[in-house]
Amino acid sequence: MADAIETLTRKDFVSDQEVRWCPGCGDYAILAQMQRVLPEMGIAREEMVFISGIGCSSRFPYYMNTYGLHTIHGRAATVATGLKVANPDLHVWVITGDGDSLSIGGNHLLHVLRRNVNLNIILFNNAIYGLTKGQYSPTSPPGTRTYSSPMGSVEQDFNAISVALAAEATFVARSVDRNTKHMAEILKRATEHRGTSFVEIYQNCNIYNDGAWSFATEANVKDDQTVILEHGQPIIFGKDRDKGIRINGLAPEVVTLGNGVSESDLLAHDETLDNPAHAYLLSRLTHPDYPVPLGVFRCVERPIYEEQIIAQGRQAVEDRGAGDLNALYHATDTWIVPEGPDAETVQEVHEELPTSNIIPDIEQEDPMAPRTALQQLLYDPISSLDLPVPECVSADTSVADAVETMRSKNLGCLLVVNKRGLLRGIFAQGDLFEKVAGRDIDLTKITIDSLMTKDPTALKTSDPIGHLLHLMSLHGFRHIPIVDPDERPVGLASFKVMLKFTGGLFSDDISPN
Amino acid sequence: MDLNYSLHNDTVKHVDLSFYVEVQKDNPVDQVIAKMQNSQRKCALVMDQGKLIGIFTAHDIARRVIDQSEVINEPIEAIMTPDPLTLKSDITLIEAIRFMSDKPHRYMPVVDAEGRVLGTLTHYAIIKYMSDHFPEEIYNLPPTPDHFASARDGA
Repeated sequence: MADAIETLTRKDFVSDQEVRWCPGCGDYAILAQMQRVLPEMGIAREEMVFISGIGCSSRFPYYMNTYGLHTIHGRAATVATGLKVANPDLHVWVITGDGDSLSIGGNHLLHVLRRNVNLNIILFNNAIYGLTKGQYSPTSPPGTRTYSSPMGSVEQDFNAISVALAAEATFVARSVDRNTKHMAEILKRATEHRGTSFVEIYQNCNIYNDGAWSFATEANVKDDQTVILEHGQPIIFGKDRDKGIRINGLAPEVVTLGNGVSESDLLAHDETLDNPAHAYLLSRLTHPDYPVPLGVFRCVERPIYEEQIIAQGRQAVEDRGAGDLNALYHATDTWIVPEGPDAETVQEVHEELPTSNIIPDIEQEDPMAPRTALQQLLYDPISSLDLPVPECVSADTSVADAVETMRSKNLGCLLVVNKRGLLRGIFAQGDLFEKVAGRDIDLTKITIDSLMTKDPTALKTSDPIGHLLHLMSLHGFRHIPIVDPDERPVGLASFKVMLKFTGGLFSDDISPN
Repeated sequence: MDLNYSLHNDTVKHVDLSFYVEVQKDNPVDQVIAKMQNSQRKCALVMDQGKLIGIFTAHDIARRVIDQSEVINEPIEAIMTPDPLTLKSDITLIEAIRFMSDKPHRYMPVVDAEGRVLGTLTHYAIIKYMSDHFPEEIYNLPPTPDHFASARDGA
């Protein structure tokens, strides 16, 4: 069993369902990180359940190859609580959005947090109703113009972190869809926490609220407008790490280091404080007056809801014996309602609704326009890359022979094919580094079958180069086999191929724009 | 942000240079490998009294260590690549990319004007840096290229 868990890979978590989010939606980045992180958590797939409410983000369970429930609007936390009490061994994730959990489900969110049920809540905050086509949400700032607030919203928005802290949450964190490394760390921390973990992820809706979080994602400004919280460290930020947060009375202030201000004057972050005031103060650092904190605001221990409930149930049975539910139902004050008159017939009314024209036009590309360097980098087919021909071997090759082949031909990896020449695995220097180096193993006695990555992620020559960058940058795959429609390897893409392509793509004649 | 502009104006110190471990020249090879494995870093910079004197990578392990068990107790100094090529921290990324794509090196130590080691430039860090410019086009993709649906929910 333990072995089975260890060998899970990202692919094991990818379902066969078509992903029905708009192209470019931030939800994809969160899905990719979840699928990357879960194989490292040592949890069996059959013990995982993803539970969602209603909204774009709530389609998430379909795309995870685990158990999942797409439940009632706003009630994912409630269904999840019931599931945890019924089967506390499950690892439960609640996937929700700002509408689902802060509008209709606001109440349910508060109570799951204060109860401290041992589950993980991931709130995709895009500050808009996406599924219903662009109305303001509880996290849309005042003044936000949407289809339902054409003159600007007049409502005070919720700060999701402040709400969670006020509801006595034991783990509260924030990340952002485009900082993939940070998001992976936060998802891991949330999974490890015992109790309810609440993670807000700033997620871009590129159709109805594009750029809502650009202050926290654009490369040229994000270091000055966000601050990464690190436990035990002074709160420092800025592209040159020269600014910090100091406490003046009860208010935070931004100060520049130097000129008499040193790191010891700054507020140091402590996520373990029992008093939530520190975390709450940090949650009030909002754009544009302050850098917006990303990271873990609070992580404290408290007894877990379902453990106590189950213990009470056991105690009651011990003290008073097993009960009889049927007897309880029929104890007193029960009667049968006689059948009444026919229900009023309801005339169904079909009314033709006016067709709306509020869906934004998606810009069409001019097929005759010359390809820019960026278009080539992102959208051109992989066939336009200069790919080396991979060295293919069979799975029963000894590791000693494979090492010698890689050495003599100066290769970083070998592709493993079956008798029909179809791709079965990939064997790379990284496998030797991770699984063999430093161990006393006779390389002539083992075959690469036992060390290779089986059934590796491969792309086709017609796939866009952007997808190579997706796999390389999110999942760290150095080598990606390129196959024909029959799954026969025809090329090998690598970091190096991408660097070479990039180096040749951009001319030195540049003008900033 | 325009990637072309960034590549010509940002320098190597603007990418994540943290993908390495530091070891001392007399550390035995097996300890160095264990340190690399524990921190999941495929590059070790070999130091002598605070100065960089060599480099040792997963590539070297696959070529010079993996089937030569007699070397694992030797000091790393005996098997490292001495006097590695380094990059100055003020060269632009496009220069670094062109330099590295012509060389076999996957890992290049980066030094400042005083010769102090700031970190190691890796192929991965450059790819990540580039992808960070296009989160919508790169990160927000479905798990496989053919996963897009013909019909979308909502919008």
